[in-house]
Amino acid sequence: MKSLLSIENMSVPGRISNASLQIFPGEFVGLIGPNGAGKTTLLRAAMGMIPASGTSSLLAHKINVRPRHVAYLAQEREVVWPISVREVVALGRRAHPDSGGDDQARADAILQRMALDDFATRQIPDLSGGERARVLLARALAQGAPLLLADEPCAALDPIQSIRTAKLLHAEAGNGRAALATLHDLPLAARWCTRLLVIERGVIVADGAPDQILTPELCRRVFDISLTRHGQSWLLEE
Amino acid sequence: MKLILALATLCAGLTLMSLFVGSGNVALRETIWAYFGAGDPLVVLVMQELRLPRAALALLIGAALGFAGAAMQGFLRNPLADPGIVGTSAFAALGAVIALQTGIVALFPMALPLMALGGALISVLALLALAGRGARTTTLILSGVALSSAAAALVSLVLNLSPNPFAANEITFWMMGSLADRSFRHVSVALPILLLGAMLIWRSRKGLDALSFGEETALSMGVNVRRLRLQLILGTACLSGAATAVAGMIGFVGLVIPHLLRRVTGGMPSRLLLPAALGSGALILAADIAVRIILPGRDLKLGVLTALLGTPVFLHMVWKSRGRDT
Amino acid sequence: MRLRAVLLAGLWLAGAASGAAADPAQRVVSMNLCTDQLAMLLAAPGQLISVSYLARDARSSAMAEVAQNFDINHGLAEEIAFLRPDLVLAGRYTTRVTVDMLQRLGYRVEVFQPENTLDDIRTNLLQMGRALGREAEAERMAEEMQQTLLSLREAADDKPGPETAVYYSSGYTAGARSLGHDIVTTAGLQNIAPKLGLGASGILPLEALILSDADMVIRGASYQGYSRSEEMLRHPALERMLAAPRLTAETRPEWTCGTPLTLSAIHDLRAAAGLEPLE
Repeated sequence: MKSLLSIENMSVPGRISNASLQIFPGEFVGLIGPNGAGKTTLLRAAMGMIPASGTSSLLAHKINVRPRHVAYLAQEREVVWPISVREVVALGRRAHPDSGGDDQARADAILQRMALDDFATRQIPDLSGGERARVLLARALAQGAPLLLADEPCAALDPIQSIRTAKLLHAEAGNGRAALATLHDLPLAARWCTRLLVIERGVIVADGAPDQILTPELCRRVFDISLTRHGQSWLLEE
Repeated sequence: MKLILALATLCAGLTLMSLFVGSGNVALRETIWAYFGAGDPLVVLVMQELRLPRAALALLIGAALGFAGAAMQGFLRNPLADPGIVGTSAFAALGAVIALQTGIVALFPMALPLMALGGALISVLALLALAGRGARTTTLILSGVALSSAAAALVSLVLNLSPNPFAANEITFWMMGSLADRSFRHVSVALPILLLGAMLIWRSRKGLDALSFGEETALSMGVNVRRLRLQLILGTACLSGAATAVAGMIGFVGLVIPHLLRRVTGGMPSRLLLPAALGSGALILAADIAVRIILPGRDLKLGVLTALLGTPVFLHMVWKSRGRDT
Repeated sequence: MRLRAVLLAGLWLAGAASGAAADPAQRVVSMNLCTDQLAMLLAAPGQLISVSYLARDARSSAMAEVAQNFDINHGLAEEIAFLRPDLVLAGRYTTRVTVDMLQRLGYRVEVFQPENTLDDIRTNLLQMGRALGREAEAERMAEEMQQTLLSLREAADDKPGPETAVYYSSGYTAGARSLGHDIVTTAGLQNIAPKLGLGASGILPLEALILSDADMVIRGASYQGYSRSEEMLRHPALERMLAAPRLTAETRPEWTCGTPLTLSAIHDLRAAAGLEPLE
């Protein structure tokens, strides 16, 4: 199977050293690691937003067609202009200039799927932080790219919305797409991601299914916590 | 679309009105004929060589300031950005004053708007270095205050050093702006650069929309952010530079009009550009008519009026943005 | 009220006393372009030790060459104090603070009103004569000037000359009650500014200037430094108006300050207007 993202020997001086990874259709990959480990830096480097050595397959596409291959949810959630939610999500379709009149329909479908249709006419600066985060995720999904890189898609969300968002990305992966998301909520990541990447001080130290890599030793060493599995769910303790 | 049409009609009406307002008492019929070249040659001269370029410049410069203001706000992601407030106009005036005082302009007329453009460019780059993109309002305004006062001081310095004792009188012109007694020469030196600036900004309007979500998101949406940034910097510098070179600093227009029109057009920066240009053109035309009616023959400065109109709006916006910075 | 009256009277007495100093001043410093010229015309050799820097500028001073023989000052209190003058000559519009400072330091400062009419020249000439202790010279010069002035005014009254507009840089004009107006009228020309209701120095919009259809336009003399205020003197519409058969002239440094030299500028203006010269 052809990978949707392939990073090889990527280094960012002082932040990331020699990271390599591949992402295939059907995967929801959680990028986990303590604060300052380099999660966001790795996503930015993969997108070509910061200078880095090594290669990212995304950069083979020209900037103007890149949105057809990858969508990106940035950590920056501030929007100063009074733009309506519907317009924001529709902007996600801008990368497909020749897709005809169904753009608004597709944008509306995403809004409905994310239960955002009640917000459609509200303006984005008037929304709460969590609502805004979901609208921006909706914009990224509306792009219809096979791959989504999301920087903290669950930050600022209340528990139920966190779970729904994780389930949504999981379902997207089920549809033959893929997502790579930085996550802080380990039980959530362990429950819904098909694969986890653990990054510690700029180095990817583990890569595999949650069951296999979330060993008590790794959790203690990297996060200084205890994470244990109980059936489908995971319990986090000091 | 309806808004654009309404604003365009307003501009057309005000342009027409501007052609009939002046210090000379000329009958309406005679004025009309004079625009077609008939009648007393002196009246023809006044209408065609004084009032016509004045009306044209009012429209052009207003539009340029509105366009530049809307673009700059989109670029810096801050509704308080305006060429006047962030110091771009002051630096443009500095460039123009240097061009005039060194006498380069006498040899090469385009030096006037080009040097002003250069000044404007320096100010935008300095602003980016000081405040950065998506700057907090306080940082943006503080940087603007610093840049404006530095440039204003340098303008005064250049004029004070001038061997011409009348040069010092010009400080008020450069600081407050006026369209009195401009000629088609001014139109012809400003127009090419204004068009270049407008084109650069018009071409980056889609990118401006994407930029609403920050540079990273814009890049992920297929916008070449580096090129966009360059286009916008150059575009706003062209517009405010050429406008200031021929009319002096006219503040607050690029701030007030986009702010008011945003309520109608919505927040999408691309949709604001044209209405902002037309609205500002109308405002300058109206202000220039007003200065001729309020104090005929006293050359009331245009910037005085726009500042009187603009300051309350500006203060209101500062007041509203207080919460966001903490 | 009474206290104020007493104070005013005291001030007047002090002023009168300073005006009539017993010994003529030996070290005179002038800090105003107009007092510079009157002083250079009247002072005894060695009596005047410094004039303002503007006096050497041929573009505004009618006596720039003579001024080369004097030291110059920039009108700063400190600079003037170091010259140890026993009399300082200042204009009414010389920086108030500087004059106050000099007076506080104990220097005698003689303040002159600006010359707004040709008759003011006589007044200032005589005041200068008294200040410098050169009353006789001043008297003689004033008398001579008065004769010329009379014959100029007689000639001017003969028949109305061409309608004239004065256009200085930045669009200023010589309104009624200005020296420029008196110069123009005494030369036998009719100044259009009063007709347009412009006071001492009003702004003459270019539009009004062109529509006035004046027979003669006197433009402010141009400085070398190209500037926006002078750009108006070269406005294409104005150039086109002047291209038609129309009399033109330029102002001269003699217009800036009223001195006996101003009369020669009036003679020249008559010549430029094609009026017959006086003997």
